[in-house]
Amino acid sequence: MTNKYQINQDYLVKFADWKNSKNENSVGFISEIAENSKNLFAESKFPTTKDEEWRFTNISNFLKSDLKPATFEDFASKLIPESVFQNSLKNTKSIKLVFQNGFFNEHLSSISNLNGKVVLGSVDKISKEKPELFAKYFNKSKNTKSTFELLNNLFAVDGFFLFVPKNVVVEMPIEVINLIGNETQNLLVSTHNLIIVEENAEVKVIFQSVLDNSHTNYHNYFTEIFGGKSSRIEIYDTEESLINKIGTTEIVLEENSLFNHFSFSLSANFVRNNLNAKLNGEHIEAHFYGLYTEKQNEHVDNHTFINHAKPNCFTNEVYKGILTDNSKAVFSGKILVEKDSQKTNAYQSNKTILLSDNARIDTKPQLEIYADDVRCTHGATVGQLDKDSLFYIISRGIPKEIAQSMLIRAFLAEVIDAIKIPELREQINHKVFFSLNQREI
Amino acid sequence: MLSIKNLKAKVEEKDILKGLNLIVNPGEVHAIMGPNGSGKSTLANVLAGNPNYEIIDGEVEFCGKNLIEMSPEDRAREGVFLAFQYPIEIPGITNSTFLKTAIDEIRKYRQQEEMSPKEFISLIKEKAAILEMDNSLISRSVNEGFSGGEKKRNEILQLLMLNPKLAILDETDSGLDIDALKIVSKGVNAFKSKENATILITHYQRLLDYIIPDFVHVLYKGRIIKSGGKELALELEAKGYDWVKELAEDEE
Ligand SMILES: Nc1ncnc2c1ncn2[C@@H]1O[C@H](COP(=O)(O)OP(=O)(O)OP(=O)(O)O)[C@@H](O)[C@H]1O
Ligand SMILES: [Mg+2]
Repeated sequence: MTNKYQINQDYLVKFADWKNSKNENSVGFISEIAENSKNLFAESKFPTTKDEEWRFTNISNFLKSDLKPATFEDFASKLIPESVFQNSLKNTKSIKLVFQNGFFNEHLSSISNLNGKVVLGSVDKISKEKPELFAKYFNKSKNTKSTFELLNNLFAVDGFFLFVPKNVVVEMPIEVINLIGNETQNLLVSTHNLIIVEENAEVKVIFQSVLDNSHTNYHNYFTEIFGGKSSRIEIYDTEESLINKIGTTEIVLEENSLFNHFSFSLSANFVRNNLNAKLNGEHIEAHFYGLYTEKQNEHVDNHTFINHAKPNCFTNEVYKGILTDNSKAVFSGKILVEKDSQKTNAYQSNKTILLSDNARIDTKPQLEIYADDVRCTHGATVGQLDKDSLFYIISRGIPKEIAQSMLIRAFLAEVIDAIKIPELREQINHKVFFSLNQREI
Repeated sequence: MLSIKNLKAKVEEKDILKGLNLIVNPGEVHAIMGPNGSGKSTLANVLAGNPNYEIIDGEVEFCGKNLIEMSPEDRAREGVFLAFQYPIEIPGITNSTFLKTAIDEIRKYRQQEEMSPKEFISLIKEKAAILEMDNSLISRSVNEGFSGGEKKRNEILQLLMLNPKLAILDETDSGLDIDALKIVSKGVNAFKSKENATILITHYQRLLDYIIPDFVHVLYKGRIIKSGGKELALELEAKGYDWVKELAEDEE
């Protein structure tokens, strides 16, 4: 091993210590991946703002934070705060799985009324019980991994696993709640999730990162999703205010599948989401929605990459945000249409409203199109709340603050109204206004 | 009710209203006509308090109060209503949420109780029926995806729901087919009472066949250059504006 990057070496030292202190049982599949990624990680440099893909997102706070990789102690020793279910669904029947600093807490989870053929729960546990499901998919969604993905490979001990077999429809939404933090230290919590949805199967998953204290904790996630032929998948990815989160969602879709992804960052402290989707079959329809509302010095960065690898697919990407105070957002949306991917329809839009002079958005659409018979559009706008619209509302006797809220709601309607679970839609709506200190409408 | 004296206003450093006088009493309907760009919408916006327009001089008294010093929301609460020439779309906010919010804010200002949801529903159904609007429009987002005519009709629904003292209708008739024109007129006539007043801004005499004005004024280059009864509208329709323009220029 070279002594190339000090920070990587520090993490490898932490890794050696951490291995000793971690849960006795968790040897096997995941440990193997960790061992195998050590060398790659040592050679993989953390990005700086000189790297094109990280120009607008500075990770120096992450590097400086001297994070402690979460261990089994951070799971076992902890009291469960009331807040864990604070933002989960209450009036909608759902399946709930709680992960505490990365470890599955079966006791807090409620899994019921599930088709017997569906397998879900802890990656660690199920990888030992049903290794055949894992071998083909786990850690297989991509070949070359980024530094953060390798870091995840090193430290992830567990994660959410879901297998929905052919023709099975899971009616209830599945909520995956990641509780992050402990009383004393700055934690690095790594979770590695795997979702396999077979042919003609259907499922909805809500990921939620919940922060448990005010320490500087980072949630490093790596989520792999495989959508089989004619599968129907909805993913909602959301986090509590104040959280720091860096991670990757890797999606591979097969023909005729229908895929909806939502990414919500509502007053998160620091977020970098990498979302990569590969359309690996024809006649796929996929929607990627993003919503970010940030204040103070919060920062959210959404990097998306949609690869139209096959013809006749439709994708629509809509990212919308509202920024106030000194907050910053980044959007980078790359669409690749491969040479033989004729009749591709790919739409992208990123719209941001700035409520203060110091808020800032850096947006970068990138289209790489190698086929000739395609329809691709992209557009990015940045602006303020429309004055004429504001006057229209106020002229009906409605006070300015409510008029503003109405325009915020109007601006975000395209994303909020696309949320298919009514209670979640209300919750997100509530959080939007809460996160901006605006009156809810 | 409304008394405008020597009103001068500008927008983006351009003088538009150049000394306008107008008196409107309760129970009256005033039609304001005039060529494009003469300042009709400017007058409407200035009265409603649009911050894009700056008042340079003059006085506007509304029900004994100085209108110019009032915020636009307070003007609405005092009873001024503007039906916009170009209504705005507000996706995600339903017509009923919008109107319920407006009604309750106006009531709050007048120290009245909020309207009960039940009362609100029956009121909006009653008013929508006058305008032959489908009930489904009530739960749709404000003006979103409405046709031009539906938007205008929706403005009149708002008028009927908010029931102001002074209604200013800025070209509510333009873009309407003859059936829609009749319906909108029916709405305005349902609104009219001895206690309230209406200012109709229009280019077309045909609206005035349905809503009979007590006075017709010609606005030209920021001033009212001629006033008369409803026969003036017929004369304008027949002869155009040139003759009044000439009269006005002769006077100068
Ligand atoms: N926001 C604005 N910025 C710049 N100029 C404006 C603005 N609003 C109005 N004007 C100008 O003021 C003048 C009067 O406009 P106004 O809209 O009041 O006319 P109008 O009589 O309503 O015309 P129309 O019959 O076409 O509706 C026009 O020359 C117009 O270009
Ligand atoms: Mg006009």
